[in-house]
Amino acid sequence: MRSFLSTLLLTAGAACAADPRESDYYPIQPLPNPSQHVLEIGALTHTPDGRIFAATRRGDVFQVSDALGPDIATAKLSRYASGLHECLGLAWKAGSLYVTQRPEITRLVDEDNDGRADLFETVSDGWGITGDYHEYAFGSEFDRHGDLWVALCLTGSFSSQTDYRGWALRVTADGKTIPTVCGLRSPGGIGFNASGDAFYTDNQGPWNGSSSLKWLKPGSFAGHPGGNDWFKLTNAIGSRPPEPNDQSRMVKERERVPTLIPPAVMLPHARIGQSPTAIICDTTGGKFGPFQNQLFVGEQCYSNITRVSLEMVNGIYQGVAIPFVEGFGSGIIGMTLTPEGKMFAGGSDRGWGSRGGKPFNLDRLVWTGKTPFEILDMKATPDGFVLSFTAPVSHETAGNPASYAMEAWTWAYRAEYGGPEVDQVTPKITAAQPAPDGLSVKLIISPLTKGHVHYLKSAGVRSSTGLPLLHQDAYYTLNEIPAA
Amino acid sequence: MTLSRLAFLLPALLPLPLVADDLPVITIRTPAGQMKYDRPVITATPGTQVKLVFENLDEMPHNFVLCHPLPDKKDKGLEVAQLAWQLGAAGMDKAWIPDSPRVIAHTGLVAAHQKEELVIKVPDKPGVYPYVCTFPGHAMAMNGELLVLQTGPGFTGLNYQLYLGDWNQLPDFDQLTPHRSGPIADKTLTIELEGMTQHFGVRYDGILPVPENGEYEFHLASDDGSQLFINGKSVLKNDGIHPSSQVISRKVNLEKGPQKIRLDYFEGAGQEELYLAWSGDKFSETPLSKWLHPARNNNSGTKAEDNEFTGIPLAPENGEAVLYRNFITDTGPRGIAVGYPNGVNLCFDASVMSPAQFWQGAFMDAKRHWTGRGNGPQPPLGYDVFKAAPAGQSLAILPETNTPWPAPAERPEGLHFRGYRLDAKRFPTFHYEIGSVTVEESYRPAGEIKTNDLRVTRTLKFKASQPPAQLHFRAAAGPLKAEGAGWAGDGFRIIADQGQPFLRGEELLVPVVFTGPAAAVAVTYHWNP
Repeated sequence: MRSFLSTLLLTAGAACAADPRESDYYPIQPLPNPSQHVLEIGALTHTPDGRIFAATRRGDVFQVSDALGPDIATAKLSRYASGLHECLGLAWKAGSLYVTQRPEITRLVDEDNDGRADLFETVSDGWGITGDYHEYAFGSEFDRHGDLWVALCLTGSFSSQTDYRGWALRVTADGKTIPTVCGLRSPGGIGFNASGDAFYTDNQGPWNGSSSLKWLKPGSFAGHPGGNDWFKLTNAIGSRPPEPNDQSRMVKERERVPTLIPPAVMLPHARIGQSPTAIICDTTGGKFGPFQNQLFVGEQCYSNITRVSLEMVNGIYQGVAIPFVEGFGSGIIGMTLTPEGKMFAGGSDRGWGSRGGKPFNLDRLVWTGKTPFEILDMKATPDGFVLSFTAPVSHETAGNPASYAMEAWTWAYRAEYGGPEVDQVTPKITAAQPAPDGLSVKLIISPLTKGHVHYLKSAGVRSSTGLPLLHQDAYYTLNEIPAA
Repeated sequence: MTLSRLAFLLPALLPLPLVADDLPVITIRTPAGQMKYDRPVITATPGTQVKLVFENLDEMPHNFVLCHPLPDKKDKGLEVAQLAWQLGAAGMDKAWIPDSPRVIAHTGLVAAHQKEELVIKVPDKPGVYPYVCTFPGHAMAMNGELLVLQTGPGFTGLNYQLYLGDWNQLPDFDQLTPHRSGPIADKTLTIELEGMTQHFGVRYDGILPVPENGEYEFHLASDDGSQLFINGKSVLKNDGIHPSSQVISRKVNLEKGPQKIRLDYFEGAGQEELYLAWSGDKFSETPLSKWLHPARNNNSGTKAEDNEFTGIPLAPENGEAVLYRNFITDTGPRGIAVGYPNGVNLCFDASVMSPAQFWQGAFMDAKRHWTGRGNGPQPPLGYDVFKAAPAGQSLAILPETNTPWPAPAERPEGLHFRGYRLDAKRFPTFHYEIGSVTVEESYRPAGEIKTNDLRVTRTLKFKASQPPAQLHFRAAAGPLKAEGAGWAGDGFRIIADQGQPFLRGEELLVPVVFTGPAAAVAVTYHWNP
């Protein structure tokens, strides 16, 4: 086994030596931590005046100053608060830091300006906790209405033993807590796309064959019926949806359960990750590279970040997941992206192992200004997909159907934990038609399967300067096939 | 300290068989702020000597006094501690060691962060000998037991045959040729043969002198497999690849005189461990192997490090309070523990707006929650825990004087937590509401652990534009007895500072009387009765 592996690694190493690497475009820069604080990051945010706040699973909040300059070594950490209960959400508004911790959302204010919070005001504690470790509460930034969202893990994988476990709630500026979406299993993060709609990541498990990114459309059912008993406490989103049938398919159950919305983007289990977490949107207007308005999704197990581009077809979201950057020191849980285009990501391997080998990390990811050759976007068409690129392709490679390969599949929708990929299809790429400017290519594909992930590998595509794609894999979740 | 030095010199002055440096060592420590010995049980063989290393990691002085047991009952040495207490003003000079025939051996009064060594002559008579800290107020929590155990004989002869091979089960050694063989000099089962650490097997053949006809019990544990034969018959079998955690035992009848013992053992890879012991009517479990099993009580002096505190203790720093919000025993899931610099600790339950418990000394150990996934509630790290009232809320409207106090609820109707504010010393004032009344609840700790006068004053300030009638504060509940200016409860004493408390059955209630829109009540809880 060992000799086989090392041969494989050597071959891979040799093949990659001359190829561009992620770090040529997006280097990972660990923040200095001379005081050796335990930085098991659970959430990150930034302030208009350029500070970063980092909250940890141990219940500390750190303030990071001077972290946006060219040299990360200037960054300074100081403890802003401590004694909180597993912080997994941060938002800043008008001098107040809003921390989502296990029992509540709390507003922190440094009233005497000594660099440490003095006021810890409960904004909402409108959900139950039993004392089970699994009952995590992930908080959001403020949405376009000024509301905070909180995504509540079930009690374990299957059941909801106290109020609103397995729900997403909204908390308004005046402190009202509004049950908004049911059917969550084990959220890992919550965020908004460029148009302000809320999304969360859910982890592989019961009723979730793979991890995914799901749209938190108010009133919808996200797929796990474990928390549906709490309709007895609220009529905020109507009546309890019918139970989904076990051992079914999402595409089928959508017809039976009207409020069931399929995951916007599947994050195929064990292919690009195993435990997705934070969601942030690039609204920097190009300061973070070419991926404007796209989402970046953290991943705890694989210690990487996946890029997601969404489109709305027939009233629901779908889109593509493409690997972005890997190699963080520990499992990513919290992320933030400043208007200056500095991304911060951190997390820990505690309780759930992660790649990287470090118990925790807090890193900065910056764009060097050099544009990687990447699939910029992938959009569904009635007869295939249109790929766009960050740089012109060579017509010869991009126009050759043999430069691409596609597989499609879905997962069983079932009460049992996780599930294998099922219903495999091998779609044929019948034509590849590059645009005259080389910035996009139209792929004609047959068949397209509604509800399947369509995995495109573009191994043969080269840029006009001969570069291979930095990431050849793209996973498109085809919830709806656009009408002709 | 003179006493300890004298004890240390004894072996040199008297014709004792061993010098102190060769004696088995037992280390006992006193962890910071926990009012306990780290080892509640130690063992020794009758008539031998052991060296005791007593290390005080605490902030206050402690001693170690080994006592003869009372003939008729277990008193944990408390009677000796009482005698020490009666020394009164003279106690300090005598290191709180009373002049009592029950005292077998003792250290001096060991100051904070100091240590002392002591050679103890273990009593000849098997039994349970208590040890205790006789510093006034410590004995209830700081005590332990020395088990003086009679041991049985060991092998009179022991040979080994070492085999090399990679097995998942015990091989038939009869079919194999030994790599090496010979006698084992100290006649104790050992697997440290030829420096082998994996892929080997050993057959041991020994002679065990059975003292008299009767029933004996053998105890076997191994990593990996093993099988015990007595006079050619299989008695215990623990074959296969596994850790040594499980000890298997079996009773056998044996005749007086030398008996043939055979033990087959093999090691695959990883840990290698072998434990064999026997016990009889006249002696306790006696190891026949060099390696001692950590779960058996005959391993004194060899595994003291197993008892070392390896937690993540949280403590107040820089004269400021420390907060720990997490799952805490006997508290709802919204517990907020507060540790104050003087050693007062409490846990406020933000589900019911009431302090669930108070304790002194060390604050909290965060290891449970800060390693792994962190499941389960964590108890206080310190000592002298008291609950002023059973679970439930501290405030309620009682329309009639006989309206029962509301039954405990997970999250009582009408009570809403609103957070807390920290003052300059990071002491929290909790904010919450009951109905339309806003409440600010604060705690002021006072006293010192050293002077045994710790106390904490709990003040509730109320505001309401339309004050309710019949709002009551339940300051304490449980068996309460009027005493001096206050009431004595289970582990605490309470005195009212503001308000007019009255006892209703087992409840100490204080009516909340508004003057205009404001009202206040205050009580002080004392540990010292």
